[in-house]
Amino acid sequence: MIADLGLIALVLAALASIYSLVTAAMGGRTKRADLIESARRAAVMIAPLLTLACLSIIISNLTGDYSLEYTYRVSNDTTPTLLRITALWGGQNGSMLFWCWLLSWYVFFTFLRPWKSNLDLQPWVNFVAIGTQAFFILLVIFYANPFARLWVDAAGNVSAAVFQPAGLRAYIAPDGTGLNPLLRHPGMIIHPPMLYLGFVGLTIPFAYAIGAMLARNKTDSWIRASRRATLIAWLFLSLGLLLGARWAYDVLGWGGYWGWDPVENSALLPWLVATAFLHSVIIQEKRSMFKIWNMVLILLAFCLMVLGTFVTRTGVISSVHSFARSSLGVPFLLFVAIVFVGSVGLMIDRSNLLKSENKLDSLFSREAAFVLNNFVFVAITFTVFVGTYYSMFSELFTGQKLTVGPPVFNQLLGPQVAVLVLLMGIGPLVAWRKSSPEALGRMSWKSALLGVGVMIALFALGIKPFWVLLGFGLIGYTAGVTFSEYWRGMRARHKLSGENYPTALTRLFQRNRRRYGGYLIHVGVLVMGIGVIGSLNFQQQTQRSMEPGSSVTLGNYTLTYDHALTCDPTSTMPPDCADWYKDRGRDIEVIAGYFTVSQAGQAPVELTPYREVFLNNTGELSPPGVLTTIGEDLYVIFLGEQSGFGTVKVFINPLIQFLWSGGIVLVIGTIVAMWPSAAERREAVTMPERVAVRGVVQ
Amino acid sequence: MRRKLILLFGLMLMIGLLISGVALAQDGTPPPPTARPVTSDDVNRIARQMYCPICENEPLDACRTAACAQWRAQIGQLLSEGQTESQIKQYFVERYGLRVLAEPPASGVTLWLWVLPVIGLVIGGAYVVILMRRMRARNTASVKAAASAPKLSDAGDYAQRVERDLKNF
Repeated sequence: MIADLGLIALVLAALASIYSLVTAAMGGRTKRADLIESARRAAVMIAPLLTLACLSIIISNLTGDYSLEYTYRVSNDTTPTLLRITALWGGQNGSMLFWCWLLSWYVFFTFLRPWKSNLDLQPWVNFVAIGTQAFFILLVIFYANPFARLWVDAAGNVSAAVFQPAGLRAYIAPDGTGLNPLLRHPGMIIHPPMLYLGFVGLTIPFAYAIGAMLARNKTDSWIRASRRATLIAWLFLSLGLLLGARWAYDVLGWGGYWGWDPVENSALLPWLVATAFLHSVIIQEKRSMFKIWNMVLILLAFCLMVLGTFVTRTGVISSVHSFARSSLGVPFLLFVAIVFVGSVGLMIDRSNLLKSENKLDSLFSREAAFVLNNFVFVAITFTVFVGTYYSMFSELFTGQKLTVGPPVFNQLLGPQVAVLVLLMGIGPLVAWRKSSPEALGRMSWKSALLGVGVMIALFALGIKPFWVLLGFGLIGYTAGVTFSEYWRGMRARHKLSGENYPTALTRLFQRNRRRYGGYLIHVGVLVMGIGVIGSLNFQQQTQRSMEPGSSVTLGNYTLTYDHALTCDPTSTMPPDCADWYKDRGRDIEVIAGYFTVSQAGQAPVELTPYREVFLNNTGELSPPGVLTTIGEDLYVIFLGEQSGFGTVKVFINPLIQFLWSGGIVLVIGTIVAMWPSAAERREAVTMPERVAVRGVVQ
Repeated sequence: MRRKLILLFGLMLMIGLLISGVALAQDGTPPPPTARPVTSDDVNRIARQMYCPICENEPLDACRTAACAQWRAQIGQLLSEGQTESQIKQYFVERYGLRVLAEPPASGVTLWLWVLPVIGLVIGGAYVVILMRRMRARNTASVKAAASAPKLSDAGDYAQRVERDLKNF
């Protein structure tokens, strides 16, 4: 009953989106205000309708309506309430609906009020955004419908369909199969919605870009208007990637946080292009240049996002053969093809709109630095793309299946990332329009000295690998430049207005959140870089099978094995197991190892790494026991017990804390950069004239 | 002209770094085989560079399936027979194909994996250089105007720039 309501809401949402799509196009062509307004209202209706659809799935999960195929697959009688709610995105069909729902809220807030500015854009932005929305809603209805019901034929075969097939009776399963145990961890509950929010958010700047071309709008207002949406999408993408890395580290138990597997890469690709886009829009805003390039970037980000959704939903890369199995394949590829061909055609047709208003004055200018930055970002994207899809193509064309593992990515990307970090330290110092190497030298020699100092100090400490020294040296240099930018800004304000330094710093952030928030993001990236270099190059590990009471030593740590505890819920369990099953499903077997870590001069610490083995044979997790200090993590994985011997794998992950704390700085920096400032609110009233730096007024 | 050279130099440096990165990685020397008993660490050192077909996205040393455990046992067996790292990898490649290696060799079809990014970098880099030169050539007049603009030299100027920028946002 509830599910029927949800299905009706979903169909109404589809109708509303199609209506809005058609009306927006007509309104855009005829410039009739009533049509444009009608399209906007229909667009705003989609979010509440999809909310109803999502709620009805959640209610079906909560009440255990096992006549619904989706509820049957992702829930069962013992599933806790919270997980029944999050099961909304715990299976393919539900997660596609969830995806649509998130997009509908971006659309909702974009069109909540009639626009006051960019009126010529409105119908066309509406058209593109709703076109995407309509595609995904139709995909849910026809290819991944979570409202499909279970039916049974005379022979007792159960199948799923939305409407009753001829000759079949309705079927209600006695109990569900339960949520995939992998998806019960809090990290896995939060991380997909973050990634989805980032993914779908890219639709808005894309809609603005294409909308501006459709409206034959010559100005750069689409960039200004979609800037916050782009940053929000980027923030969520970053959060999704960071949380995913942290989840892998905390739960999967292989000692690392990033495995360069296709699913991870397909989320990284749009992030990379979006990052390039966030940089290059600054040139267009400030100097009205590189308009085509920005169109290309946002188009690429959008296509990679759709491709990424497709890849993560169907698993097509791990084997091309899964393509045939997934019914989503053809519509997805068709959609990407339409978007790509349509956008490129539009760009060629409207290329006269996309002419730069300014020319490049010098190869030694902020503009040129941004171009190089974009070049490197795109080169990195290309490399990751080749690495990710290579095995698919080699299987298609030669039948040879390949693995492209982390060593390949690390070697190909290391130097490119190094150049990017160097540019991060040069770009902010180079003036708009024209600068000189002398000026750059004058402003950065101290930072360069700092970088060289870092390299010498580390070398003296016994760190020999060239790439590691170069990496830390570059981080030192760029950190020097970034902090001196803050310092120079503070000092300038101090001298001009007599503010004390802390006030000056706060004012700097208040007056120009975007620039100084952006620098904060740079700081975050540099801090993360320390963690990446450390954990990549200095990880130590050992594996040992031990009797109770014996120890293994790694670094300064001595790990002593005490005992193992095996809890199999299908048989009688030892009393100690009760602690493990307070909030754990009975379809999970727990194998825990109890260890004591001792270090010279410190109190011993107990660690209990364990394995969760899923009894339905869908895999397992190995949450490690971790002893965290500022410098490194002792990371212990318990592999199991056999004939009295416990097997343990011990890692020392140096500098890994920098990765997480740098991630936090990056997130804070992004929030600072996108927070509306007083100056920006003024900007909304009066469009600023463009003033070039160095007093050259255009 | 000098600036153009600097830009070119920067690009070449980057390409050079990339190529040398690839080259450096090719001659990682494996530890010499020893007479001491084979440990799990010895096995893992090799397994870390391999993938078994069951665990598509997890290295062999981390994969928990029985099939992968068997592979690791096999590696231990081969090590105790005195085989070297490259012999052992070859053993698995012959039986299961190149997909077992985390890092496919840079030869044959897989060469493209290494060459494509470099080609992309060279072509893209050349395109960027040409584009920027052309954009600049069209605009020599305004360069002269910019060149005659006042020089940004000391902190005073910088302060003004900060203020101007702040107003501009």
